[in-house]
Amino acid sequence: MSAVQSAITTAEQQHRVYKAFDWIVIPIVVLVLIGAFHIHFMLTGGDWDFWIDWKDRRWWVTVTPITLIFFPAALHYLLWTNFRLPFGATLCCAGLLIGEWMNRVINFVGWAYFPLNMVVPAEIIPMALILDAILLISRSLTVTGIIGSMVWGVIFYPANWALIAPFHVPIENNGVMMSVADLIGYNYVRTGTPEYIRIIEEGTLRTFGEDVTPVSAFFAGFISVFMYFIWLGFGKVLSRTTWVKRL
Amino acid sequence: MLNIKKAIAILVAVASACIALYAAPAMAHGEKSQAAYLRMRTLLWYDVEVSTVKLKVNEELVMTGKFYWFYDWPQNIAKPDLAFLNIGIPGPVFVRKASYINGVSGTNSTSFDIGATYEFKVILKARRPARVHMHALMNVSEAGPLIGPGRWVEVTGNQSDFTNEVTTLTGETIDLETYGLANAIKWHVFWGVIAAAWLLYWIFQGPILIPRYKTVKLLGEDADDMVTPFQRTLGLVMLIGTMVVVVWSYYDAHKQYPVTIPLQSGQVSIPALPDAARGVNAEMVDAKYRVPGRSLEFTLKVTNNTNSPIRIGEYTAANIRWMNPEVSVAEPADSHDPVAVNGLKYEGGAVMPGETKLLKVSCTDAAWETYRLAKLIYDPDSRFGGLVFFFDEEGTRSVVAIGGPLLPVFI
Repeated sequence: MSAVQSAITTAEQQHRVYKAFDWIVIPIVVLVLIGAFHIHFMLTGGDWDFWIDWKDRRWWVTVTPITLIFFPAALHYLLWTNFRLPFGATLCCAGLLIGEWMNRVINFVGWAYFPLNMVVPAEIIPMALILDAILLISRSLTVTGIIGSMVWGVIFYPANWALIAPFHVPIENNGVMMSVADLIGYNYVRTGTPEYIRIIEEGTLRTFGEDVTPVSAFFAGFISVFMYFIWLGFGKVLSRTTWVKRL
Repeated sequence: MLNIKKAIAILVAVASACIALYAAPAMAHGEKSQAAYLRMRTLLWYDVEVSTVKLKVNEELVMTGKFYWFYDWPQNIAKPDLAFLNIGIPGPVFVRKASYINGVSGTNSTSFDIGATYEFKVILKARRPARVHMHALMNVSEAGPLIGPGRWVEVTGNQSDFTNEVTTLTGETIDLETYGLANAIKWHVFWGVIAAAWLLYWIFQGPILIPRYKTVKLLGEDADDMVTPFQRTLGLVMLIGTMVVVVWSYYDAHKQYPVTIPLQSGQVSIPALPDAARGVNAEMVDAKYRVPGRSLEFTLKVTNNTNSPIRIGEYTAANIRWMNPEVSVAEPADSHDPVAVNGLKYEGGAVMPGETKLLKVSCTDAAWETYRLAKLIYDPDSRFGGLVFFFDEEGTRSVVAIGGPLLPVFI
């Protein structure tokens, strides 16, 4: 008889232990994810997501989906290959939005007194739901990477148009035509963020005239495909249990 | 015996509490921290005034003044090819209703000419109660903020009374404080609820981590069978449903807002004011900074091409004014307005029309130390600059930029 005996002797006890493990691990993972993903996105998406007058039809559309797909891809690998759970993207994006809303309400409004409508974050849940759904239906990370990531990039702008369209209504200010978003950016003084620092509407896609958004969106989707697979690789490396076994 | 661990823990706790509880209000915007040569040889502000220093929420304040882009611009600082007239305040205490440079709207960024003078006007509407030190400010691309004179301004009242109503070109009157917010929150809540339902569906399948991990390892290549047909159907419904809502919301927004424009990012070019020197020419002959006396001493070769005798009334640099009260009088606007009311003296008297004369000028005040301008001698480019104000007998002013190498005198 072994000197060490398991404390779990019944199936019911085992069920309770497994459940307790979930209740301990899942909240910790969610909190770490919110923090890490939020920092990542502030460093990469940053001002494009902070301010309503940065949400343009070229750079915001391109930068946001590409930089956002990193964490969902890594978590897809971890949760799908080890648990066959298809909610990595939704978990990441919902967590990010919780962090962003806390940041905007407490920091931007509570401390710096900006109006909340100036700092509303982009809507990213629809992209995440579609990425997760394609993974669930296809049961393939490859198919998800190729089709899901492309759709991820393409639908970002249409999914957000319902939020930002009101801010693109034209307005006149001292003889200059501006969008409402431009006027909000001009009215609410940002000492460290002058008008010229915005990276908006820059590029050489002038051939497409006003239809530049679909081109930017497809480009974002195309690059997102590559990024998805690169970050699947990161997910693979980071979800190894080698170190845990050594412990 | 002293418990070291306990003592360290208590010290850390006390220090943390002190830091957390004592958050001192910001009293300035780093105007003294910028290098002296940068403050003296980039943008020189003068005649900066505010219409009032005490106002209520919703009332307006007008800031006016002039700025001169120094002719001897430092080599290591980007030139003002792209700049934006701004205001230095801690967050939007005011909203900027309008700004003008030489009468042209300052909504857009602008390029400026070195060696030229411009005047500005900014109209601000008080938004929240606060007592703030506000500055005129010029953001220059690649060079950073060039800060102008500051004034203490107090706003009283209640922020909840503030409104910022404007009328769009489509005829709708909106309040920029809240416009579009309810709609944005509605969409975030809608998608948030669906995301939560999706996550909770999977999390409440029972214990999911250990059992599923074990099952995946047990089934190996057949692990995909863990996904049930119902769950795949659920995925399909979610995929189609999400696409339908996205497409519908897109076209519905187009229907609600048929006239929209892209974000505007134009630049304007603004002609400079006429030369403020008005026929007075001043060349630097030599200059030294007397460290023990906190005094800048320089010799100017002045030529008066006007029709009236002129005398020096003021020298200004880095938003500090040294006044010669025999010619021009100024008092500090508030406790943080650096004016040396009797700081300028010079030898040589009036310069007659058509005359060229050497004038020995000394500008003395503790401000050289307190505003860290004496640090100029430690800068990588120890040249100074500033504006000299000459006045004729009728009080008409000629503004002349001067500058050159500066030698320190330590004994």
